Parts: sequence; C-alpha cells; structure tokens
Amino acid sequence: MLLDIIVIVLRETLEASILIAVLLSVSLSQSIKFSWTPIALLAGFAGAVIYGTRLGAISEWFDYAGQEVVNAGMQLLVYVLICILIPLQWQSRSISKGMMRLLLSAIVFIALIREGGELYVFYTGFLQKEEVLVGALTSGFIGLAVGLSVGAIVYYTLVVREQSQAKLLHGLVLTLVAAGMMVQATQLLIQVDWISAGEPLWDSNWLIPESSVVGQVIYAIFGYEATPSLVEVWAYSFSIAGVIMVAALFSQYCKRHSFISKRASDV
Amino acid sequence: MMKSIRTFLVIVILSVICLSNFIAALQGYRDSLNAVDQIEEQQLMDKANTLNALFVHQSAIPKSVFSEDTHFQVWQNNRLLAKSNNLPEVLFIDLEEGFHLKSYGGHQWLLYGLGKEDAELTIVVAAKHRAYSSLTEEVLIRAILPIIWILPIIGILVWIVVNIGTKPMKQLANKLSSRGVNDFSPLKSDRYASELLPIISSLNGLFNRLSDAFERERRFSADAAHELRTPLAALKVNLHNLSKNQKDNETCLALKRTADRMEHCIEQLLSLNRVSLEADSSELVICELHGVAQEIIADIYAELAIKQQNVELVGGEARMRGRFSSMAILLRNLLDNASKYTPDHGAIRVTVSSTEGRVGLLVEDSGPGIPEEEYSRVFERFYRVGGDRSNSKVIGSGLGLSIVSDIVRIHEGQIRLSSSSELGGLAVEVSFPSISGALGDDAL
Repeated sequence: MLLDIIVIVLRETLEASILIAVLLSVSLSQSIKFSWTPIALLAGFAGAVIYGTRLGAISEWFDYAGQEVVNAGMQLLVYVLICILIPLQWQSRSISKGMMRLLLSAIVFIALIREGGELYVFYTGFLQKEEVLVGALTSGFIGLAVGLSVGAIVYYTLVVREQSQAKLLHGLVLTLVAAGMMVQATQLLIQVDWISAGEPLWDSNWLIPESSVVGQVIYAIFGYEATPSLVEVWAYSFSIAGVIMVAALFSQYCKRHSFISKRASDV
Repeated sequence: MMKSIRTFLVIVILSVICLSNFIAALQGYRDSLNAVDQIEEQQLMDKANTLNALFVHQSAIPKSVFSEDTHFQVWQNNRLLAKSNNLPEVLFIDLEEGFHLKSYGGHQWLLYGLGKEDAELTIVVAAKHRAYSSLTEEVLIRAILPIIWILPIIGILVWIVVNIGTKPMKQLANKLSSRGVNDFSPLKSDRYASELLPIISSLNGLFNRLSDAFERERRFSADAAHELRTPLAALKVNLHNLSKNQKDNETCLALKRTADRMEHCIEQLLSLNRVSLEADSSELVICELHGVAQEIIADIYAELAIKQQNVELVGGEARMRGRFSSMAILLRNLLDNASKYTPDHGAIRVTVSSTEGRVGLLVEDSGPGIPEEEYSRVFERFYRVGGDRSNSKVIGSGLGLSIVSDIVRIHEGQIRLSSSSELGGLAVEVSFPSISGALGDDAL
C-alpha cells in the first residue's frame, strides 16, 4: 500500500513541481519578480479543493466520463498556454511583464487544480481510516518531498545556466512537459473510450519500469509510457510538432511586425 | 542567475538529503518485500514437498498434524484426497507446477502446485499473499518517521553550516566597504579561503590598475597646474607693464581678464588636487566651523568691499572632525561663489549651527540663484549654469561646487541646494557629523 501511495503522490507532485520550477526560472530570466507565485499557488490550492469536492458531481458528466474529460480538457488548456509561453519567452519584448505574469500564473493555477484535485480526493478517503492514516501521510510526505526535491534541483539546474542556454532549456523542458500532458490527456480519453487505443507498440518496462522513481521522473518530464499505443505516439509527436510550429509562426510574425514598425518609423 | 548562494546551497543540500534518504528507504522497502516473497515461496515449496512425502507413504493423515496456517489440497487422479478446512473442494488452480496468484475470499493468495496433471498425486499449497507486508510497512514507517522529524533540524544545521561557510565572503565584503576612498593597497591573500583567492587576485589587480590611474591623474593635474602657474605669473607681469603705458587699450584689458580667468582655473585645479591628496594622507583634526568662517570672511573682505556687498556671520561654535585646509577651501569656494553671483550692494549670510549629532553651514545670497533643474548638474566638474557662454560675465571654471561636493563626500557630510527664503538667491546647506568633547590642541 505504501508504495502505491508514494507512486500516486510522486506522480502528481513531480509533474507540478517540475512545471513550476521551469516557470520560476522563466520568470527569473525575464526579470519578473516572484510576487505572482504565492497568489497563483494559493489560488491553485483553493481551486484544487473546490474541484476535489465537486469531483463526484463532475464524474457524472458526459455519461460518467466527466472526470477524465475535464482532466483531459485542463491538460489541453495547459498545453495551449505552454505553446504560447515558449515563443514569448524568446520574444519577451512583444509582451508586457503584467501579461507574462498572468500567463505564468494561469499555467500554475490550472496545473495545480488538475494535480491537486486528485490528491485531495485521494487523501479525504484516508481521513476516515485512522489505522492507515499515519502510513498514508508518511508515504504522501515521501512522495511530496521527493517531488519537491527534484523540482528544486531542476530549478537550480536551469538558473545557474547562461541566459541564452537557460532559454533554450526552458523551451526544451516546457515542450516535453507539454507533450507529456497531451499524452496523459490522450490516455484519459482512451480510458473512457472516446479514443480507441489499439495494441501497445512496445514494452520498455524491462528497461525503465514505469512505477520506479526514474520512471516517474521521466513520466513527469517526457510523459514516459512503457507500453504506448500508436495513438499515444502520434499524440506525443503532434504535440511536439505543434509547439515548434507555433514558435516558428510567432517568430515570423515578430520579424514581420518589427520590420513594419521599423519601416513606419523610417517613414 | 541565482539570487542567493546561501539559499541555493541550503535548498539543494536539503533536496539531495531528502532524495537520497527517501530513495534509499524505498529501495530498502522493495528489497524487504522481495525477501519476504522469497521466504513465502520457500515455505510453500517446503510444505508442498512435506505433504507429498507424507501422502506417498501414507494415504490418510490425521488433520491435527497440520497447523491452522497450512492451507492445502491433495488431489489423486482428479479426486480430492485431502484438504485443509479453509479451502474449497474444487480444484484451486490449473494443475501446473509452480507459483500462482489467485483472489479468493477477499484475499490475494499465493499458491504453489506440485505434480503435473498426469502425476498420481497433486499437491496445492496456499498462503495469503504478503501476509507480512503490513509488518514490513510498519518497519518502513518506523524507519522513515525519525528522518521526517529530523529534517527541520537538518535544515537548521545546513543553514548554520552554510552561514559559517559563507562568512569569509561577508568578511571580505566588510573589509572592502570599510576601506578609505583612496585606499588601493592589495588585500593579503593568506587571510582568505582558497575559494576566494581568484576574487582576491582579481581585486588586487583592479586596485593596482586603479591606483596607477589615480596616481597618473593626480600627478597630471598637479604638474599641469604648477607648470602653468609660472608662465602665467610672467604673463601677468608683462600684461601689467603693458597696461601701464596703454591704460584704455581694450585688447589689453581683455587679455588681463583672460589671464585672471586662467589663474582662477589653475587655482581651482590645485585646490581639487589638494583635497584628493589630503583625503589620502592627512589625519582628521577637530575643526571649529565658526572660526574657519570668520577667517575666510576676513580673507575675502576686501573683494566683498569692492562690490559693497554686506556679509553677515550668524551662529556660534560648531565642532566637527575634519581637515582644516579642506574646510577652508570649502568655505572659500562657497563664499566666492556667493560673492560672484550676488550683485553690488547685495547681501551674503553665513549661518553656522550645531544640533545634536550634526553641525551645519548655510551660505545664502541675494543673487539670481540657480534653476531647480540644474541643482544636480552644478556639482559636475567644469559645468557652468548657462554654459561657457553664460551671460553672467563672471569669471569661473565650473570647479567650485564640484570641489565643495568632493570635500563634503570625503568628510561623510551632506550637501543640499535650495532657494533662500529670506535673501532670495541660492542657499547652499552643508552638514557634517559633529563631535562631542573639548576642543583639542590641534584645533583651530
């Protein structure tokens, strides 16, 4: 039981802490003060509690596929916001600091609702069983501590880099996290038969077991799946291609826009 | 770019401790579970072999031989020969030799089958799977809880250790901030940790370069001023002789004015040089500002009298720690400035005050004053309000207030410009930290 609780808490915490670590590093590289962080975290936790308490009713939506569909929707929303954030952190002059703060806060807020809501439901179940509560809380603490520690190490790995290198790493990690979220959204929709899965393409459990700590870390960063189906592989590939395409289009737009502004100022 | 090395070290060290401890605990837990599984399997195999041996030699065994914890079925040619009370009468598993997991009666069972389908005797032995896992979990929780409780203590210890570790950096910063403005002496590298040696070496290199540059600048201004003084004196004598014969010659008068201006500029450059030299070398003594003001007013009284300007000295004794010659230069410049820009028959007032902890000097005049937007610029070297082509027709170099500002800075004082509410012109307010105690022998 302990191991299962640790794995569940670790999955949710790792994903959120790695995402928040990258966003904090983006904030630092853009010279944006961390004042947005406590507000976004508090709002996210409050949102997670509200979402957790309403999860029973939400589950009944869409012919009892509500929880999975809403979760998938939130993953998709985070993906879209990350797609917007990646090119903006390279072209920071094209957006005000206030807007950037809002974007960062929105990502943290939605990600916390998604991850925190499930943990809330999970732990309220244990509150009724006093005999296992200490074990559940201890396991949860281990999962939380490991998740936060990995997040802290990711944050400092990013902030000690040179500015240009850090921006490249932000883009890379955010792309992988975003693609991982899309894979998770696909998995949720497969669970409720909105998408048909098909046979697994391979099984890499022999190399990196999905339930191991390493498996959980790369699940949180890359959306690692030991037995992926063709749909999941396509979802992952298209998500990465989507991020690259949005970044390229935005870069083109910025170049054209700066060219037009330059010409206008020359005239 | 990290904001704090101390926070970085504390968080990263704590994270590494958490990761290593908890991952090691998890690995230990997994290994314990595997060891328990192996023991369970071994026990089942032993029981199965024992049962097999018993039934081969004796077809009926009394049930009292087996304990309550032994769950088994013995099959002979698809006929149940014997079973423990707690297992059903149907074949529990497919008769395949080896271990199997099966759910039954709300539990997960680990089963071991001995003997193949065609064998005469088939033994099935069962045990609740991971019956001891709660014990293993209990052991893990008991092992991990002290680590969790001790984490805040580890955090505090790491914080203290990091603080001690970064102390040499703090000491270096204190040492640098307590240095005199012109102290370029190298830092002694044997007093610092080896990690700080590259910084010490770079700082010493920087001090060396700064010292050279500073020395070059000082020597240049001193040499230039001295070298210019001699030919200028000769020029002024020649001009004086020339003007004796041609009293109304305009060119001669213009040349005289230019020579005066040049002389003033050289004197100011020399003052600037002297102020920097004193800041570096001479000791601070107790100065009494009211006495200094009296002396300077007496010095320039003749010049004030020509313009029929009224000068007033207000206030009493005000003592401070400083350099007498610097204070004299400061007052001379402020009074010169006030006299230059105050029209004939105008008024100049010098107020010396002493409040708790500060001594103040206020020089006011009835001149045109300075526009407020120019206040910050007038302290720049060679800056003159209205530029060199100013209509004031006043001889000036643009160095006076810059020298005053340097003296104030060296003496850790403050300077403020404003408009005089009573006289209407410029008011220059200077303040310094005061001293308590009697006037020393070396004071004015």
